[in-house]
Amino acid sequence: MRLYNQRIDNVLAVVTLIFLAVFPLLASDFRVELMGKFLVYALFALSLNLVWGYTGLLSLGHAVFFGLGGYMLGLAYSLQNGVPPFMSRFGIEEIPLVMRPLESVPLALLLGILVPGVVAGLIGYFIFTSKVSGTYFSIITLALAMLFEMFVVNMQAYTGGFNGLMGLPRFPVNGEPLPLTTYYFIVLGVTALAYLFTKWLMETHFGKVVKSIREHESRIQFFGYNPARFKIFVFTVSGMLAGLSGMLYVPMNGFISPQDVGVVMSTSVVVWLAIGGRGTLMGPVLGALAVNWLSNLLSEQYPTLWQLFLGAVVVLIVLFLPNGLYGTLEHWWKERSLHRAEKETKAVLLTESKVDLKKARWRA
Amino acid sequence: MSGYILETEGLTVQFGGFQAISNLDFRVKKGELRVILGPNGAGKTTLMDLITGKTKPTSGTIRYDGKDITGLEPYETARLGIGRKFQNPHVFDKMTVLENLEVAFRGYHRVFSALFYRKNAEIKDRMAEILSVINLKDKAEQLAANLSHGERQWLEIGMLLAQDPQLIILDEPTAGMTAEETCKTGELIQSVFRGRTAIVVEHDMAFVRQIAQVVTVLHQGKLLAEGTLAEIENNPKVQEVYLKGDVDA
Amino acid sequence: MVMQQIADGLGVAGVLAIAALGLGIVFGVMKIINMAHGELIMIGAYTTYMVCTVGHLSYYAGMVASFLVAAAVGLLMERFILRRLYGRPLETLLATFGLSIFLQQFIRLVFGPDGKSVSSPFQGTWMIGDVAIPLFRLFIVIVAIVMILVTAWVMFRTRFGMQLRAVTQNRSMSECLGLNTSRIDALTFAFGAGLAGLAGAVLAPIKTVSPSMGLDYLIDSFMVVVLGGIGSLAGTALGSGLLGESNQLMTAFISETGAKMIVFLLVILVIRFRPEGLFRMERR
Repeated sequence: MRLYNQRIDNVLAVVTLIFLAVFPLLASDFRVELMGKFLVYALFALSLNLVWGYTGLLSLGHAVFFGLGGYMLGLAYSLQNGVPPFMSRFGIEEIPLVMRPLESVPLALLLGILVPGVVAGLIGYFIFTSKVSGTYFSIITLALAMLFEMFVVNMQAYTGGFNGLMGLPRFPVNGEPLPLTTYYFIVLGVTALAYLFTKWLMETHFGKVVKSIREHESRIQFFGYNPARFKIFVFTVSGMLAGLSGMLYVPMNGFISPQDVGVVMSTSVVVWLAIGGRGTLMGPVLGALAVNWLSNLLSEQYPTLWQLFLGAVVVLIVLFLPNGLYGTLEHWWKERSLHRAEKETKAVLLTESKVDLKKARWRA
Repeated sequence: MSGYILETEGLTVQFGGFQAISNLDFRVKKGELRVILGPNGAGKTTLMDLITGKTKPTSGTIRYDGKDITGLEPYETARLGIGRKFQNPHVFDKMTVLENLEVAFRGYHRVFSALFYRKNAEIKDRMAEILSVINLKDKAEQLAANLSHGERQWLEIGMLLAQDPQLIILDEPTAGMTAEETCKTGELIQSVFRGRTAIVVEHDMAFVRQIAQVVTVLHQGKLLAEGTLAEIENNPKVQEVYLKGDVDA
Repeated sequence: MVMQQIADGLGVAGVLAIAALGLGIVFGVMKIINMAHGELIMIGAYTTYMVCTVGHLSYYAGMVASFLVAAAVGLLMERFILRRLYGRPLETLLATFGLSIFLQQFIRLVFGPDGKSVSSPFQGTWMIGDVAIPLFRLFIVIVAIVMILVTAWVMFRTRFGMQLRAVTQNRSMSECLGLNTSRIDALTFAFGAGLAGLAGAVLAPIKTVSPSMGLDYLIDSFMVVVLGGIGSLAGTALGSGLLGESNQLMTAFISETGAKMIVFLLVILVIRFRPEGLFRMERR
C-alpha cells in the first residue's frame, strides 16, 4: 500500500527533476533565470511546509527568515569593495563592527543559515512554551514581518533602505561570477537535497510526532511528548532552510529589497502552499512553480485581475479543496490504491479463513 | 506508604467559586483494579485530569510511587508511567493503525531520540504482539479514521499497551460498545493489564460487576464510600445518592 | 510638548478603539480572527469617500453608510464563507486572508490605486492653553466612547446581548438551550464588520484612502485586543488608549519603527506572561 502511495510522489518528483534539469537546454537565458528564481521560491515553500504543512503552525511572516539569510549574503557582497555607496552617502567611513564578519563570504554563508535559525528558535521558544493558540501565533508572525520590513527600510544607512541592495554578483568563485547555467544547477541541486531532507525528516519517528501535534496536540502529550520542544525544533530548522533559500535568491536575482522580506513575500508563500497542497512533498514545489509562472505570464497584462483571481482561488481552495490541488490528487490516489489493496487482502483472507475455521474448532 | 502507587492528600481544585474536588484523600495500592463510580458532576474525570496533570490543583498533593507529581504537565506524568485512555477514543485519524501504536511506544520522547529512532526487531515483535491482542492485525496499514468505533477503542487500548504504563487510567472504556465488545474489553483489561494498576471510571454496572475489586464512590468532589462492590451497594449513603432510582445496568 | 503629543494621540486611540472593538467582539464570540478586518475598514473609508466626496452628502450620512455597507459585506462573508468553516480557526484565517487579497484588488480595480481624500467635516481646533486639539479628533473620541457605550448597552441590557454572552462563554450549552447560534454568529460578525466600517469612516478624513490602508489597523487592532483582554470592553478602551498614546509619544521621541517594535515586544510579553490581558476584569 505504501508502495502505491510512494510511487506517485516519487514518480512525480523524478519527472519534475528531469524536466528541470533539461530546462536550460530548451529555454532562453531569461527564462532559465526565472526558473532559477522560482526554484528558490520552491525551496522557500518547502521550508514553510515543515512548520505549516506538517506541524500545523501557520507562519505569516516566514519571509523574515528568507530576508535575514538573503541580506546576510547581500551585505557580504556589498562590502567586498570597502564601504558601499549606500553607506558612505550617510557619512559612514568605516564598515561597522557588527558587519565586519560579513566581509568574509564563507562566513556570511554560514551566518545566513544560523542567524535565521537562532531568531526562529528564540521566537519559537517564547511562543510555543506558552499556551498561546495558533491564531495568535499567526498574527504575531505577521506583525513580525511588517516590523522587519519597516526596520530594513528605516536602517537605510546599513541596509540600502527602500531600494535594497543592488548589483549583486552571481556567486563569484575565485573572483569570477558563475555562469547562469552552473548556478542554476547549484540551486536545483540544493533544492533537491532540501526536498530529500524534508522527506526523510517527516518519515522518521520525529515526523510522526510532529504530525500528531498538528492533529491533536493535547493527546500526544499523554504519550510523553513535550510538544513545545518539537515545535521549537521544527521552527528552527524551517528558519534555517528559509535563510538558505534567501541566500540562494541573491546571486540568482542580483538584488534584494525590503519587498522581498516583508508581508507581501510572507503571504505569497502561504498562497503557493495553500494552492499546491501543504503537508505533501510535491505540493509546495508544484504550487510555487505553477503560481509563479502563471503570475509571470499574466500579471504583466492583468496585474490587478491576477491578484483578484488568486485571492478568490485561495478562498475557494480553503472551502472546497483544503488539501490544495496536488494534495487532493495525492489523497484521491491513496484512497484508490487502498481500495485496491483492501480487495486483495479480502480475497486472501477469504481463502485463509476457510482453513482457520478448521484450526479453531480443534482449539476450542 | 509503600504498596500505594497513587496517593492524594487534601486534594482540592476550584474553578471560580465552584469546588470540583474537595479535600480528597484517595489511595490506590499497586496492582489494584479500582473502579470509580459517581453521578455526573461528581468529579471523576476532574480527578483523572488532576492525576495526569491536565488540570492543576488549587491545593493538596498527589504522589505517584512515592514521588510528588503535583503540578506536573501531562507529558511529564506520562513519562513517569501514567497512561490514560479517554472516553472518546483519541486516536490519530490521519495515521495508520501501526503508526498510532508506534507513536505510543515508550522511550522516544526526546527530540533527538525521535529523530534517530529505528524500528528494530524487538519493537517489530512487540507491535505484532499488540496487534494480535487487539485483533487489528489485518488492519495494520489502515488509516485509523476508517476503523469502526469499537475498533478505535481497541486501538487506543493497544496504544496503551505500547506505552507500557504502570498506572493506567481508563475513562469509560466501554462507552459506545456492544455488550459483546464490553465483555471482551473486561477480559482484556483483566488479563492484559495484570501486574499493573488500573483505575477505571465507569457507568455501565454490568461491566463494573465483571471487573471490580475495590470501588470508590465520589459525590460532589468528595469521597462518599469505598469498599467492595457488595459493600458499596449496601451502603445507605450511596443508595441515597446514586444507586437509588438509577436504572443503569 | 508632551501634552500636545498626548492630545494628538487621542485621535489615533479613538480610531483604534472602534476598530479593535469590532475585531474583539468577533474574536470573543466566534473565536476567529478576521484577516479581512483591515479591508472592512478600508471599505468603510471608500464608502465615506463615495458618499461625501463624490455624492456630496453630509458626513453623518457617510458614517451611517459606511457602517451599513461594511456590515452587509460582513454578513455576506459570514453566510457564504465563514459558516462553512465553523470550528476550524486556521482555515478561517486562511480564507479571510484570501478574501482580504480579493477585496483589496477589487477596490483597486474599481477605484484605481491612487489615494482618495475626504474632507474633514469639522475644521477648527480647540485650544486648551498651549495644546491644540483639532475638533475632528475630538469628534472621533466622542464617537469611540459612544460606540463603546452602545456596545456595552447591547451586551448587558438587551436580550440579544445576553444571548451573545452566553454563546461566548459556552457555545454548546447555548445551543442546547435553543439559541440560534448561527443567527447570533451572523449578527455578531455583521456588527463587528460595521464597526470596522465606521472606523474607516472616521479614518477617511485624516488619512489617505487607499486600497492597502487596512493592514496596519488589522495588526494594531489585534494588539489592542491582546493587551486589553478578549471580551473585555473596558479592556479594549484602555488598551486602545495605551497603544494609541504610546505609539504617538514614542514616534515623536524615538521613531515610528522604534515605537512599533517596542509595542510589539510588549504584546509578546503580555501574551507570554499574562495572556488574559493587562487589564484583567472579572468576567462573570
